[in-house]
Amino acid sequence: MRFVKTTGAAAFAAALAAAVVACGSSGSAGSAGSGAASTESATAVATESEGTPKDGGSLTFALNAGWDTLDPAVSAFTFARQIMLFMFDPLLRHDPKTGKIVPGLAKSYDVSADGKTITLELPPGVKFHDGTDCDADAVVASLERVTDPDLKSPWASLLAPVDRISADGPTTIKITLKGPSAPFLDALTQVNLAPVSPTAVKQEGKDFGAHPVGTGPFKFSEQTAGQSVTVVRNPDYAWPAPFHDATGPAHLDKITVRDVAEDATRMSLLKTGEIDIAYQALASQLSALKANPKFRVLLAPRSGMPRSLVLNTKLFPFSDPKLREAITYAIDKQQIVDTAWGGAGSVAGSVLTPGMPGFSSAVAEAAPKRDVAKAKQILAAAGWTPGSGGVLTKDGKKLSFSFVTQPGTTFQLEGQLLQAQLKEVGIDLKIASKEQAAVLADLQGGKAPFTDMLFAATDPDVMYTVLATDSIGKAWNGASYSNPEMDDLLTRARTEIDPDKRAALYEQAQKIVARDNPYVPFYNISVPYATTARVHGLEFDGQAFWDGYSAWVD
Amino acid sequence: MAAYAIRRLGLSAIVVVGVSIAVFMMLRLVPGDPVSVMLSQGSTAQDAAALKHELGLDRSVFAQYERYAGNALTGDLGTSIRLHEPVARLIGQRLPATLELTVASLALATALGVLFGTLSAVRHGRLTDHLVRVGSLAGVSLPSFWLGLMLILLFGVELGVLPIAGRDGLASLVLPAVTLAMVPLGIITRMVRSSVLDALREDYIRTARAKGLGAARTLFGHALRNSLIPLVTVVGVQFGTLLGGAIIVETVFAWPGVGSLLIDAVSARDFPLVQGIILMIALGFVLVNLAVDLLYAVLDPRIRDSMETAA
Repeated sequence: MRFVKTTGAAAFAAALAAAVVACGSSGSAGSAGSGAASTESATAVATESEGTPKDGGSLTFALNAGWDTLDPAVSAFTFARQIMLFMFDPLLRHDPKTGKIVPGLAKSYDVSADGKTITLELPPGVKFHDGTDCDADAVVASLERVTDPDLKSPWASLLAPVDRISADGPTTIKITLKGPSAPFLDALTQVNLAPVSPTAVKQEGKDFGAHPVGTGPFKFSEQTAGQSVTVVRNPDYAWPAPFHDATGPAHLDKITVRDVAEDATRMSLLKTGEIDIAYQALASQLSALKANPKFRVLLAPRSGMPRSLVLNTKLFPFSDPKLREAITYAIDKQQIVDTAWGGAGSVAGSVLTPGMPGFSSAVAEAAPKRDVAKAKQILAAAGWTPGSGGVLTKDGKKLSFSFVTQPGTTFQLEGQLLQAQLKEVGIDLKIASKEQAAVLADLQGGKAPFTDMLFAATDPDVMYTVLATDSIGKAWNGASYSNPEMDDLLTRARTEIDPDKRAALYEQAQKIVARDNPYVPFYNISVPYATTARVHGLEFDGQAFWDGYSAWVD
Repeated sequence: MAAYAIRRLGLSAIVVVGVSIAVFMMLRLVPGDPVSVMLSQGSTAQDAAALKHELGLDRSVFAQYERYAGNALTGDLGTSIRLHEPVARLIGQRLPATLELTVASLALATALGVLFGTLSAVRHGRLTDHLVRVGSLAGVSLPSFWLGLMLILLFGVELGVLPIAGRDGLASLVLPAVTLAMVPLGIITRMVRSSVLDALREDYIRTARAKGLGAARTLFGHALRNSLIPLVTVVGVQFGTLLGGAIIVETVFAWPGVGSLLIDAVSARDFPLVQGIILMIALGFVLVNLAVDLLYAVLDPRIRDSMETAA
């Protein structure tokens, strides 16, 4: 769980999948409204036009940041998860098309009526890349390894709800929970909890991450520190996740992943064909790439909490709820998404992204649209009167504050647009640029009156992370929002295992956010991938990652 | 000579310790800490406090430094907070790439710098001289970041003759090494030019010419030889500068060296790793300068003599 450099303030890797796949170059995910429907139809178009998959060939894929280790239980890096997804099979998955939790390596799963026992059934004959059997004992050992205090796994907390894990026959795993836990199934979709070869763990010890051995469609081949990782096809792979609707090994012979931090360099590598896929293509080059038949742009939505303005409810001026409400009418979300973020994604209305379990389309659709007159009216009713230079004042105090953001074209542009938009209603916005770690420190310390953040996740429990009273101070409730009613709803949603009842709780919670406005969600982000025309069959999960299984090249 | 060397060594040690203290304190003064960056979903304020304690960041800065310095003296630079690996091992993995890049750049800058500088001095006031002077000014002034991207576009994308990024054989070294060489090339060219010009006005040159020595002998045997002594100092200083410049060039060219490691370490506030890398750069800088000072004495008997009297 580390943040993604380019997406800034708090792009977090909390879980895999929920919202849907990208659209092809023909798709227009920049359109407004809730993106789920439009992206799904675009996916269908992309699939139809791709033809029959071919076997063989290799491709090179450049990320915009590095990774730490390729040991799933130890790695804390977002991009390590992408690479590990080639080599390890999570027990459960999110279906890329529907976002629902579906079987992964486990061919089926069952949750008991009381929600306390989860039974996973492995297909027979699963083997790790080193030939070791991946049976129930191996899965139990892998999960227990994550909770081993000596390993200091950053993922141990995912297993906190667990009371006991045991093998119940050669292919059956029983997980007993201390109490019902709604987010727990989502935890099992994490590649960080995927089975690892017990033989290799024993042999390699702490060096397992340098020689990772899993059950995935690709096997580890080699890696150069700070530069690249190469994986090759696992010829014995016969257990793809059922949603893939295919059997047998992956199509590609080889995938090379490179770390190319500099955006312009990554784009140049794509143009010379040295790489086939560029993660996080430059926003300014998207339209030119779309127009060029040699390339394609795929937009992969990342689920969780959309990029949102953070209005600190404990600081001037946003301690006044009326001011927070005025902001919702004063800003032009569409302009920010199109201009600063290159239109990759859609305008957000709710604090959960479309496609997340519990996402309320009603709340999203009812989100205020820009209405300068209304914003002014709310401010006037709250006692703010025009002062010198058109800036509103009240009791001799000017309506002036800082937007805490990062350097870099996108963030600066976003700040300038907000500045111009707020100026129209009489607010004097200053832009305070700080380096990423400093922005985070302000956010967690509740010191930023006005900033923005997003939080990647696939379970709606992300709302607890950003809205619960528990999460204030050195945690992620950057708005310092505290409301007992909200705490109660989010706590109950954690243990409610009936999906409909759980969704109803989140619906209510989203309504309260839309009423109280500690966060003003404005942008459902999509990660722009640029590929050469020879690349096909990329299927993205809610984290905007792909497992390599369905990918093929001309 | 020995006494001089020991004194210089002592001074160098003080510089390195000073740098280590400065970096240590600065890292803790700037806003943001590794705990903020590492906090995961579901983290509470208690988790943050526990993490802070585990990393030893809840102690006083002096206690932290004492522990760090004690370990560093035994060769233990600590463990990277983010990468969970010993700092020394991480630096060891990346150092060869950085050394390869800096040494290649310096060799290129020195060879071309001597050539252009001499040419410019000999053709003083003519077109060649003007071209070299403009060129060296440009070399010093162009931001390496911009230059690197332009070279990528020209030689990689448009002409397609050189690999753009990564470290894979000699060809991949060309663009980053040329980019990094530009600043020292400009400086060395200008330095050689002025020092050859000076030398050409010296009495011993007039004597050599009067003896009937040819132009080439005069230039290479006398003028150039004497003007190269200050070059040693300049090249030494440039080596240190290159270690710094490599940080940007490595990022542009995805060169897997220490520089790109440092950038990630700073943005993640990976204190031990930043400290380790800066300490290594400082150590490199100090050692090269020490070597230069000693070499200088070896090359120029006058300096050696004055040292002995001073010591």
